[in-house]
Amino acid sequence: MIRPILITGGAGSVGRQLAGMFLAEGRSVRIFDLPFMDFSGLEEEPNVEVVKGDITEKSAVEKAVDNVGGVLHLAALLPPTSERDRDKTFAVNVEGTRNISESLKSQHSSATLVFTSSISTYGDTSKEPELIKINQLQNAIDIYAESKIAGEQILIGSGVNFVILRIASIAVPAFLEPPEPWPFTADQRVEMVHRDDVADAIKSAVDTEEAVGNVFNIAGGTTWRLTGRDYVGDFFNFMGAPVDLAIYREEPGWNDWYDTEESQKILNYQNRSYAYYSGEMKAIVEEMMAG
Amino acid sequence: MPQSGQEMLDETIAACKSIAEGLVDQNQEWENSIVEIVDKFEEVSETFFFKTMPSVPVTRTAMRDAASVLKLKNASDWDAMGGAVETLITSAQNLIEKAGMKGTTLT
Repeated sequence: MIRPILITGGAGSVGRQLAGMFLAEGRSVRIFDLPFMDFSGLEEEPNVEVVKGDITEKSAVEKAVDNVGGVLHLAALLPPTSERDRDKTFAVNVEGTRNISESLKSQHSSATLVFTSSISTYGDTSKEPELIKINQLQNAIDIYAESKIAGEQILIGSGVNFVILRIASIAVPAFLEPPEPWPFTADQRVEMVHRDDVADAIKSAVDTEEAVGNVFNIAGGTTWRLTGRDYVGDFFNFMGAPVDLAIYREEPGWNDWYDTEESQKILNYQNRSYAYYSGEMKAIVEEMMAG
Repeated sequence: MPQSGQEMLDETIAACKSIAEGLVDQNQEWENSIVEIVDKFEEVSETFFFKTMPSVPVTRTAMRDAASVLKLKNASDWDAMGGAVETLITSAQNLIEKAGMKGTTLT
């Protein structure tokens, strides 16, 4: 019997997307998420097992991890929620990661654990002249990034088979509210990544033996390398909204351009260019205008 | 210069408020529906959606439907009023749903 892929935080949008990718290949998944989450459409699926529980509770995690073929660890508190309560953020993002790692170890599992970290762990790199590499000093400027650095450190010293993905800001092809402020200055280097490329990277990370034990930057690639002003200008143009409404950070934030040569070579996930994303956005707006 | 979504929404809210005035004497349900629409419109009126082009078609439809209802009310054409209020409720629901855009591009 092929062992299921565990997706923590699996009832969310990225978790569901990943579940769909594995199911399409005839593989089984185990979704682990908080009991109050919406599991509709998952519980009825034949190759989906739903485990409801809290990642901060070791017994629940042990049950979720039992006999899995791989772990996609997505469960986390994200900004802005993560910035409201440091203890809670560390309980979920750090101790939750420790619980998974220790459960895998105690079960002598060789399953690969894919940890979704963030490029925000590098902090303000705006003075760096080159592309940001994975050996860049990590320097958190918020609680979320601090918790992700701590999560990475747990895995690196754990002895489990891990892959750490430091994921850039995700561009979602949908009609969404812009953030206020944008988390970068107008002149700052910004490289986002398409949502579906992130899903491809995560799936590839658990399926690719060569990836194990590595840390990767996950970003869109050369076509996504823009300035904050260019990205935001395009966004407002897609929406047909006046660009002077855009509010930027006053000091540089944690966005930059990233060296993704190695991650692309091993994970082969950069499948959607910035032009492709722009086309999607224009099509969405046209559809809304038509109806 | 064509009206923006925001301007059309403001006009729609003003029309709905005029419709609601004294409508309770004619039909309590109609009045309740129109007051609820005004409340919902005011809740979403500051959202980014009304600064965008896609807000224009749906807001224009709601504005026209509100203008039709107001015209019927001013003409005391109560026979046609029920159907027109239903049409306005539908276009208002569509607008409120679209204006409830959420999320951002960030992790």
